[in-house]
Amino acid sequence: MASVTLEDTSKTFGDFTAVRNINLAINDAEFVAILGPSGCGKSTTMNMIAGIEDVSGGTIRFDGADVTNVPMQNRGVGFVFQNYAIFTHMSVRKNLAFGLEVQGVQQSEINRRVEEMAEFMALSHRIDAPSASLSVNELQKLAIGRSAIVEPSIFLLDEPLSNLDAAFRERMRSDLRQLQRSLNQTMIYVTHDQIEAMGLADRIAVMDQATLQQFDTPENIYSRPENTFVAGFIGAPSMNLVRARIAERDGAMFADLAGREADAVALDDRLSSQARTHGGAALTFGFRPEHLRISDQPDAGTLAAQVVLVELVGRRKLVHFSTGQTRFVGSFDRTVSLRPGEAANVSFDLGKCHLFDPNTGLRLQLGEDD
Amino acid sequence: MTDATSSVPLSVDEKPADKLAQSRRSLAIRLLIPAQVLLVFIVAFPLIMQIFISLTWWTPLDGDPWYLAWMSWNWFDNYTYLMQDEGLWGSVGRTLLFVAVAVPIEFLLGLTLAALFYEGVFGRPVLYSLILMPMMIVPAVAGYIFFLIFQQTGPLNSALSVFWPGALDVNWLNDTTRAFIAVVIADVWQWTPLMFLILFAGLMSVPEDQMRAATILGANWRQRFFRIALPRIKTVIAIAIGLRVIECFKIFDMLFVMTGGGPGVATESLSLFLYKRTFQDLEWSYVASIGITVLVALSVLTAVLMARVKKKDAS
Amino acid sequence: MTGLLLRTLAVAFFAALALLPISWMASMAFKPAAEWTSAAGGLTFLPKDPTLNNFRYVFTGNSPDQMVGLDRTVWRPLYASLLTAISGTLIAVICGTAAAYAVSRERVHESIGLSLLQLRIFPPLAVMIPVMIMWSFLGMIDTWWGLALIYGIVTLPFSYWLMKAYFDELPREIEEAAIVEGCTPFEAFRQITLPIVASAVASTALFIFILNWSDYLIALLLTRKDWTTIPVYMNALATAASGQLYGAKAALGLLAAVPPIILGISIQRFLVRGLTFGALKQ
Repeated sequence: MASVTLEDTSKTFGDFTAVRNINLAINDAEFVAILGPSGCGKSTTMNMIAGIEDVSGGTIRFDGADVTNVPMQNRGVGFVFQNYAIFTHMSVRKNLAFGLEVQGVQQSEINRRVEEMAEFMALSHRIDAPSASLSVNELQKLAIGRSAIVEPSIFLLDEPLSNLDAAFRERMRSDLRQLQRSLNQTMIYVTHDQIEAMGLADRIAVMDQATLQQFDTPENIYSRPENTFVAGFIGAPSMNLVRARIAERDGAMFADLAGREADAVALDDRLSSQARTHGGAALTFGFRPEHLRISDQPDAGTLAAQVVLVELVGRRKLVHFSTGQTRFVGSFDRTVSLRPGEAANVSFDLGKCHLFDPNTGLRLQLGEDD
Repeated sequence: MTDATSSVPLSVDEKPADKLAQSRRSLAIRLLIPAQVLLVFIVAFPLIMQIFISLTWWTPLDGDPWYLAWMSWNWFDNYTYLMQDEGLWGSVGRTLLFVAVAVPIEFLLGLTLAALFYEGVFGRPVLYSLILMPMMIVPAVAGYIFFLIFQQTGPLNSALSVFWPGALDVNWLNDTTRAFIAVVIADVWQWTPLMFLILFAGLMSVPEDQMRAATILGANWRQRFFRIALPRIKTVIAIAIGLRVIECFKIFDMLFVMTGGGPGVATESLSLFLYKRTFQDLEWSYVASIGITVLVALSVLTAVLMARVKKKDAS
Repeated sequence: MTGLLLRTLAVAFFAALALLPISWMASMAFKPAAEWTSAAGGLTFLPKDPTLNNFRYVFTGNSPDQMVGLDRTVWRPLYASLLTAISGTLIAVICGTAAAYAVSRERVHESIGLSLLQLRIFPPLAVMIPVMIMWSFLGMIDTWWGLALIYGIVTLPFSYWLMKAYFDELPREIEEAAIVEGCTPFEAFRQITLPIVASAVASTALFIFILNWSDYLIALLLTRKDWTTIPVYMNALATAASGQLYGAKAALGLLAAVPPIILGISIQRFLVRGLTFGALKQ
């Protein structure tokens, strides 16, 4: 059993706050990704969990036991560094054996487990090679194997796949997931790559500027982001966030996205209730590119826009629109025919769109399920 | 490509590049001249002169200028003599003993200091500068300091006499064994900081992440030091020990000032032996032959070591 | 925490051991003749009756402590040490930097590095006889330039290896950019490269100065009366009736030791590089 809890944990370096009062409750055997841009504090958070950094405030618990002051050699976690930190003066075998040797495990037992792990990591053919001669991909596997062999109940990985080539990265992702499930470990994974996080994790902790933005399942992070940062960070291409002037007309709520009152978009019931409750005259309207539709006829729910640019990305066609005041992107099927310079009427899949407070960035929601 | 363009003469563009390469080379050759002149004038030429003199019986006592040395030509007599010269081999043996005792002590102390610093100490910058001071002292002066310290009526005996009254009767520099110990102590005092300096620099170059990885895997201090740090600085250790052995073998200043080689020949290193033969006995041609022998021996040794190092690099 | 404390104590102990002999000499330098040995009573660490007489003696030749005056004061050896050390440093740095640049950039005569290394390996006394003969023949014994020349050649290996390491790290593009603009290779070297490595040259020069200043053997062999340097002067200090001039010599030792210590501390970070001929950095 190995749950990890951070209670009001913070870290400062002199005047600089690297991590600001983070509260995180990770369950046993859960795969959690800590996701965020460079400098957001994710690696520092991980280092505190491992004991590489001391906490400046707050507590860290493993299974309820306070480990805040326990030195890193006694925490029993596994840690894979971004640059692997392989003992380059030792062979693959000795690297794998290290964790067991320092614990005083019997030599015969060590040999058995080393060979098993080498097999598992597909490194058996290199087992006696000097580790400095390994390719980047092999080093990666060795790093994971070296940490995994001591069977830690908590496994920490700091951007482990960022140095690998794309094809190998995919394979490693599924291998990691497999490893985690088979060893029933709590795995915490730092990355700046949202596709990785969305694909691998049971829950994602999104961080920005030393603060935890949202800790939720990938599904929720995607469809119910808590603030404009999460909304804009997740998804590629990212969610469009447009300033909207909100006005009530004939009992219905309208969002003016283009500075043209006449062209304001009518909001559905859900969004209208949110806007009414909020009461503000300006809100941020968020919609994902795939939630944009093309309409033949202009009506209360459409917005007139001009096509500025058309890109082919994968199986989708990305169309950049401009309303003179704002620009946004829509993602459509390839068959859609739109050309730069053309005028179009766009409408929105309002059930999937969101409203955010323009000052705090928080998403408007009226109830738990909103 | 075998099309017609390849037979067209060099285009105008390529000539300036050639000229540039040439002018750079000629600059390089000219920049080398001062150093080469120094080497020829002060190394190559004297070497030839030394070989010449070593094959004669000449000494300045003869009254003749050196270029007339051929008048006392004696072929290899000097060389056969030096093979059996007990004084010479005694001094060589003593020097080797000295090196074999002093350098390992300096290494172990230096390594201990480096390890302590590496794990962390208070006031690191201040302590670092203080530890380094002995090696910045002029060696002749250091020799004098220990000459003062090891005086029978000096501070060491005075301090020891607090615990042990008999200390005031102990004569250090006039006793064969104690004098040897005294010079070893002096050398260790002066040069342990050098070992420390190099070894500490080596330890600091051990990648921190590897040390962390080892710690997270559960390694304690000793395991980290002996399994990760030390193996990684093998080359640094070799350099440090190699440097010290070479310098220690040449030792002169400190010994000359401290004991003059005495009592008797108890602390007479090879350099001191050569000095005495040169200035007390004025046996210049003999010393010249010893010099040539030492040169040849050391050259062979370095050549062998270089070859081994090259082999290791290639593998 | 306790580990930190214990380690600090251990290191402080070594630091004290390092300082003790030096401070003993410093204290001797300020002791009157009566306190030089324990013959007159117990020896104390600090002078009971501190005095500048030892310094007076070596700087003026007379002192209330001594009945017999010195026929040579320390002024000339001081001058000799400075002049020869500085000139020797200039020779070594100029020749070494030029040679290092040439080998590093154009890879000509790479063997010079090895020859220079061998220079440091050979015991000086094994090769000094022909040098003494030559110097005597050329009238360079007991001259400042004769001594400086030897200093230059003996420390040349250091300046060569050190500067070569720095030039090796400097990308060639820097000069090439200047040459494209129309400089000759020499102009590029003088106006572009040299300013960049200026601080490295300075540190190297200070390091070599320390080595030259600290020399004893070569000065002993190649000087007689006019140009003895401080270490030689110090060791030979004696008068017919003076007995052991412990205090005066301690004062001289202090004088000789202080400049290298100050310079050494100021180039501490550079020392690893210097002492391993550029093989290691810190």
